[in-house]
Order: sequence, then C-alpha cells, then structure tokens
Amino acid sequence: MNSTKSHAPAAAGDAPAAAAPAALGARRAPSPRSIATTIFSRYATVLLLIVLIVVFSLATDKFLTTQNWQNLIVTQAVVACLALAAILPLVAGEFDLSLGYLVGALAMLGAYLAKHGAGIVAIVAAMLAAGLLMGLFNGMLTVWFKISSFIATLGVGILLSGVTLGLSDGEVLFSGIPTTLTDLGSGSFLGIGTTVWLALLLAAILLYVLEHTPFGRRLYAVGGSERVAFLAGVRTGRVKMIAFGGAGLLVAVGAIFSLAQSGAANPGFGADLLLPAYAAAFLGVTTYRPGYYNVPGTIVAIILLAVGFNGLNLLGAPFWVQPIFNGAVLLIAVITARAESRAVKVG
Amino acid sequence: MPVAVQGIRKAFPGTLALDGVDLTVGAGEVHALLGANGSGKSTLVKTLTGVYQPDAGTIDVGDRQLRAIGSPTEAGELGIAVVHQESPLVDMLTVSECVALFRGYPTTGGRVRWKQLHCETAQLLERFDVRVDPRALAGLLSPAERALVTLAIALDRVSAGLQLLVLDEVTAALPEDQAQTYLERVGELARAGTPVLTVTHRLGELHGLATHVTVLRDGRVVHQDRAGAVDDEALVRLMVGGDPAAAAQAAPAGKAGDGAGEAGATDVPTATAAGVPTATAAGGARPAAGEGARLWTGRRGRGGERVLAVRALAGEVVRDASFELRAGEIVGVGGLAEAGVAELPQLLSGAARRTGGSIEVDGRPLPPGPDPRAAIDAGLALLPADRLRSGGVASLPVRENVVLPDAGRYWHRRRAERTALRHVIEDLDVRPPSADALFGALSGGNQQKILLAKWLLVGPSVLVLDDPTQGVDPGARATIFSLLRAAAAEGLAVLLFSTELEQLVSMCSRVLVLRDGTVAKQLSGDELTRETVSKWCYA
Repeated sequence: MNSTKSHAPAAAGDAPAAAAPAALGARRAPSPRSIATTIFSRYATVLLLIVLIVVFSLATDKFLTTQNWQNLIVTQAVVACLALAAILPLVAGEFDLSLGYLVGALAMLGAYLAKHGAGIVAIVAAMLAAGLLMGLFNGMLTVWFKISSFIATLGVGILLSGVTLGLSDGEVLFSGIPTTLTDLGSGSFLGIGTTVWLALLLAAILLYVLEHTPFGRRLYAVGGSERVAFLAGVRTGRVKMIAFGGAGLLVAVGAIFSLAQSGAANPGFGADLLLPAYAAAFLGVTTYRPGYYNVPGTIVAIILLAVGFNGLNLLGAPFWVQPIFNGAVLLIAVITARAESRAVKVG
Repeated sequence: MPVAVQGIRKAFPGTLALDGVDLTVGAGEVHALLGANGSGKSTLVKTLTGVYQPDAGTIDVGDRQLRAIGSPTEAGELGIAVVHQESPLVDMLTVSECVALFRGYPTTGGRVRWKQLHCETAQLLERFDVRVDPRALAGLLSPAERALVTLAIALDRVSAGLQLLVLDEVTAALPEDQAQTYLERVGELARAGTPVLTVTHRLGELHGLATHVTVLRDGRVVHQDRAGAVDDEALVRLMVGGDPAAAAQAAPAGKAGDGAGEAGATDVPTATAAGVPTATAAGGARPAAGEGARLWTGRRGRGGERVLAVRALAGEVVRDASFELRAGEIVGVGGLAEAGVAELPQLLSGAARRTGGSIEVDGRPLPPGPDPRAAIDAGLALLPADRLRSGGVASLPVRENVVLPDAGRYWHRRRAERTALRHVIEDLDVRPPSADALFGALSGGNQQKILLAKWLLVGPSVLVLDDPTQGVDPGARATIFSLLRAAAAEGLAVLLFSTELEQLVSMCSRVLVLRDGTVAKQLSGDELTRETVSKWCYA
C-alpha cells in the first residue's frame, strides 16, 4: 500500500528531486554542524523525552519516584506489544487496523475460557493460536484476495468486535482467571513489572529479526517496492503472510498481558489502543533509523507518550489536554523529521 | 528571439555545480547539451526552467534580461517549455483526463462534456502523430507511448509565445524508431523557428537534428561549436575527461587504491558513509572495470557449453520463439517493443507467466511462473528496463539493494558483505562511494552499476539485460560494458535487449531479431551491421 511510504521521509518520491545535489556533494567531509544536525534529527524524540523528564521532575516531586515510574511503565506493556505488532506489516508496506479489536477479542476469549474452567496452558495456547490465525487471515485477504490491507483489516476488526460482544454477552468477565496468570501481571523483577521485561524481550527479538536476519531485510525491501523485491526473487506473498501472522502473535501476547494485569476482560477494551499503537510506530520513524519503521524508535516513542501522560496528570492538567499533547507531539515530530531529512539531502 | 545565458554560476554546499557557463540558443537552432552525470547539465536546465536560481550571471529571454527565473511558473510565462523524462501522467486516469489536467475540461453548466474531451484529445494526439486511444488508462501505456503523450501535451501548451523548448532526456525511454519519429517532429518545430535545447545521452540521435553542441564537464563548458565539428568519439572523450577505455586499463593504479580502501572500509565503515574520501577516490585513480569480473561468482571456464535453451516459448505477444545461448556468448535481441521485445525478458525471468513452450537453464527446466525465484535459483537473472519501478528500491540504501536477491548468503557474514560491497563500489567507480547512500538519490548511471553488481554477485549462468543503458551517461556505459565483456570472457552468457542498434552491433557476436513475437532472423558475422539490424528490426 503506497500510502504507508508517505510517512517515511526517505520515501522514493523525494529521491529523484534530490538526486543531483546529493551526487555532487558526495565527497564532502562532515562538518561539526552537520553531525549536530544528524544527532538532532535522529534523536530529537530522545532529547524531548529528557527535557520532559527534567521539567516534570522540577515541577512536581511526585514525578521522579520509584512508585510512579513502576506504574508508568507497567501500563505500557500492552501498548508496546500492539505497537510492535503494528510495525511488522508497516515495514512490509501494509496496515493492520484490526489489532485494536483483536486484542480485545483475544482477552475476552481468554476470560471466556477461564470462566468455563480452562487451565492456564489451555488459555494461553488458545489465545496465541487464535491471534496467529487471525493474523494469517488478514494476510490471506491481502495476499491471496489482493484486498487493500487497510480495508481488509478494518473489516476483520469490525467483525472481531462482534465476536467480543458475543463471547462476553456485554458483561465484564472476571471469574476463574488462573492465579498463575494474575501473578504474572502483578509480579516484578528488579522493581520492574514482569510483563515489562517480557515486552522488552519481544522488542529485542523483533529488533534482531528486522535488522539482522535475511527475513528482515526482505521485509524492508517488500515495503520499499514490492515489484523490485518480487523480481529479485523474494517470495513477497510469503513474507507478508509471516508479517501479518507475527503481528497476530504479538497482539495475542498483548492480550495475555492485559488479562494478567487486570484479571478481567472488558468488552469495550482494545479499540482505543489502536491509535496509540500507530502513533508510537509513526513517531518511531523519526528516531534511530530516520525514515524507516524501527523498534528502538517505537519504544522511545511509547515511553515519551507515557511520560507526557503521567506528568500532565500529576500537574493536574484537565483530562482533555492528554490527547492534544499526544497528537501534537506526533505531528511536530514527523514534520521536523521531514524538514531535517530534506535539509540534509539538499545540502 | 534567442535565449542566452551568460556567466552562470551556481554553487551547492561543498560543490560548484556551474562555473561561468555561457550558452545561446537562437531561433531555428537545435542545441544539444551533453555531459556525464554530475557535469552540471541538469543544474543548467533547472536554472533555465526556474527550479534553481543562479548565484551570478544573466539570463536573456527574448528582449528581457533577467538575473534569475524565480519559479517554473515564471519560466512558463516567459515562454520556456520543458519536457522531462519523467512523465506527468497519472496512472489511474485516462489519457483524455491527463490532457484535461493541463488544458482544462470542456463543460456545460459544470458537467464534463466527455465526448468533446475525447474528441479534442484525439485531435491533439493526431496532430503530433501519436497513436494512442484517448480512453486508454495512462498506467497501461508503454513507456514509449507515455513519452509521446507527454511531448504532445508540452508542445500543445507552448503553442503561443514559445521562446525555448527544453527536452530533458526525453528520448531515454524510447525505442530508436519511435524516438526518430518524435525527433523529426522536434526538427520541424525548430525549422519553424523555435529554439530547442536538448539534453541526451544518445549521441546517435543528434545526427541530422542538432545544429549546435555544448559539452559540460565539472560545471564548465569544455566544447561549444556547430554540430559535426568533432566526431562522436571526441565528444565522449570531452564528456568523461579522458578515454574511458584507457581509464579501464589503468589496472595497477586501481590495485594500489584497493588495499588502502580495504583498510578504510574494514576499520571505519562509517567514514565512507559520511562521505570521507577513500584512498581510491582521493588518489584520483579510476579503478579498473576490466578486473570487475571478480564480482561475478558463477561457474567459470566452460566456454561453449549450452546454458540456455528456449523452445517454442509463448506468452501474450511472444509465440513460438526458440533460441539457445552458450556460456561466454554475448547475444543481442532487437526489434520493436510490440514484436515481443518488451515481453520476452519478462517470460525468461519468470516475472510473467508463459503460456507455452519450455525454458531450460543449465539443463534445468523452469516452471511456467510467475516465479522469478525459480529462474534465479536455476541461474538466470534479469536486469529490468525500469530502474526505479522494477530494478532497485529507491528508499533503501545501496547495501540493501545489492544483497536483496541473496540476503541469506550474508547472514552472520558481515565481513563477506562488506568485502562484496567494497568491490562493487571500487570496481564500478560508484559515486558517492558509499554503501549507505540511498539508491534513489544516485544518478542513473550509478543506479545501473549497482543493479548490474547486484545480479553479478548472485553468480548466474545467464544474465538478461533489458535496455541497460537507458538514461546512463557515456562514462557509466563504458564501465558497464567493459564489466560485461570481462564476465563473458570468464563464461557468463549475456542476452542483451537494446533499442540502440549501435550497441547491439558493437557488443554482440550474434543478434536475434524479433518480429510478430517470434525470432525472425539471427544475424552474425559479416551480416551483423547497423544497416542489416535496422532493416530487419524496423523494415
């Protein structure tokens, strides 16, 4: 899907116009100023994060406490899984808009099985399997039936919201959730929640897969130009199926974390996580590997948005300031990144 | 009403693109602007068309003297029309709708009069001898048809008050016979009094068309005279600043730079990435393309063995095409795009599904496809014609483009990958000499070098090249061809599709001519001359 690439500052459309100057200025040694520019453009979100932490620490003494940070981070484990899930299809040039509804449906499936007496192994296995299957189903619609993933996954998502309602009958399910699961949700290691560690482990695995394996390189190539990748012998269909399937698995992990942390499944849960997950993925494009969807940038983005949320809350900002902050950060970051990458290219 | 520029200077940070350029195009003249990629000719064209504003110098248009042309719109108002290689057609719209984007829609009371639109478009296309259905989708046109429609639109727009027509490498995507048709049309315009400035890499098409020639190198005019004052070979030498063949033989110098470059690349890979000159580039020694055969990793020394057997191959246009290829051979394919020249490479490489016949590579039959992987694994690789849509991923670095077909080979072998990329960049003299440069930001010639290297590294038995020199400057052409010859001498079989007859004759030992989808004639030995190929292809 072409619209994906328009988020990336390094997209093909910019290249031909910049071709001549880039080729001419090739042998120029980097000046200190251009190095500073590079650092700024690559790590602007990191700098912003540091600035926010300093400001909030000075403004309120409740911000920089262990208690506050433990809460702040642990609430991000589920969003992190969804953002990682969003990246996989995005890198391949596709969207998965079903993941918000899917995380709700899978959490509900887990709670439904628990209510009917299923054990921990059965619950987790069923959630993972269902997540994988739904991911592959998204892939099938996109790859085999050649439906735009934007539309196909939106359709799947709406369908899943119905499944959630059906399973729950409109009620919050909380009975019979195995204690092993809720222990996982409340447990911690070195003061940081177990789910956070697991989410970081997943991020590390995804980082390795995307940047250090042949599969990752092929995935970026498919996203850059499916035609070129196909002609270069990449099984583009298979690569996309794996991306969607992987996204489904990551969503399932997010659903398990959610069920573990809250000990219940709410039929309204999930849909409103879609936009934060995508905001983090898009914001991540401005950091670490500018112009490409990447894992470290996304993780920084999640923390940045969480710190903003938390700090504004502590400062007593009204409830409606929060979305305005998130939206503004995303827009400003992407606009600055585009301007920076232009300046670098033309120079 | 001549258009003249005087003392034009334009600097970009770190480089002086134009350094005091004078150029006058008078009424009735066709002025050819030549130069290698990076010589400044694009900058000069952009100065004339209002994209760039010069740092110094003057621009005279008609009786007005200007310091600069502020914008493309202003250039249009001054009567300067430009046709770019990249066509402004929208793939999802019909030809008529594309024309209407420029001309406006004929309407009654806000409702589009479609019949009139199609009719007017048909008339416009007919006026410029373009045979395209106005109701056809622009995305389904061949590159040739797109270019012709683009030209018709541009010519139509500048009918009143035209001061200068700039053709910016427009013929690059056209097969020779169709290029001829439209160049004749350009000639007519010029004779009617329109000054024309044409930028091209094809020297051949200037004969009988250009009246004046200017050669740029490193931002300066190195030659400016009436056309025909010096021969084509001398022009190429002027462009590249030395004989490319001589540069290719400078093997010892290339070797010396080699070792130094290795140290630099292994220890500080980021240094080259940031644009620090490597020893090779700083020494000024052009690495030898001749030893570039080390890039090709295929099986060597089996000249004469049959590596490709095509029998009764059929597709949408191609039918009953049969031929063979032996190791070490360079065989050309000529003919019209409609005769199957456009489709055959797609069928051979498995990019398109064949409807009949068989293809065997090294005795291994290929599936009917579409399955490029099977062809690559069997030992057949295709360098497609459309560099940016099919050849390389513009938004990814050179590194990722080179390893793409064989990414698995370099897993956990970063050192092997670095060595391979260093060889690619040195042997092919890629500028900028960095594996981290974005593919889309490279010049056409450098892109093509990268794509050639990408396929040679896979080590195919048969390499199919579809119009490999389209929009490639003479220096890069020389590098590409000497590399191909070197690999062929080691045993690579090359199948070269080209719209430039000269290239077929000079590169190939044998030329297959396609007509009506089948191999109508094989030319070799004394029979293989420009005239016979031309006769068989177009007559």
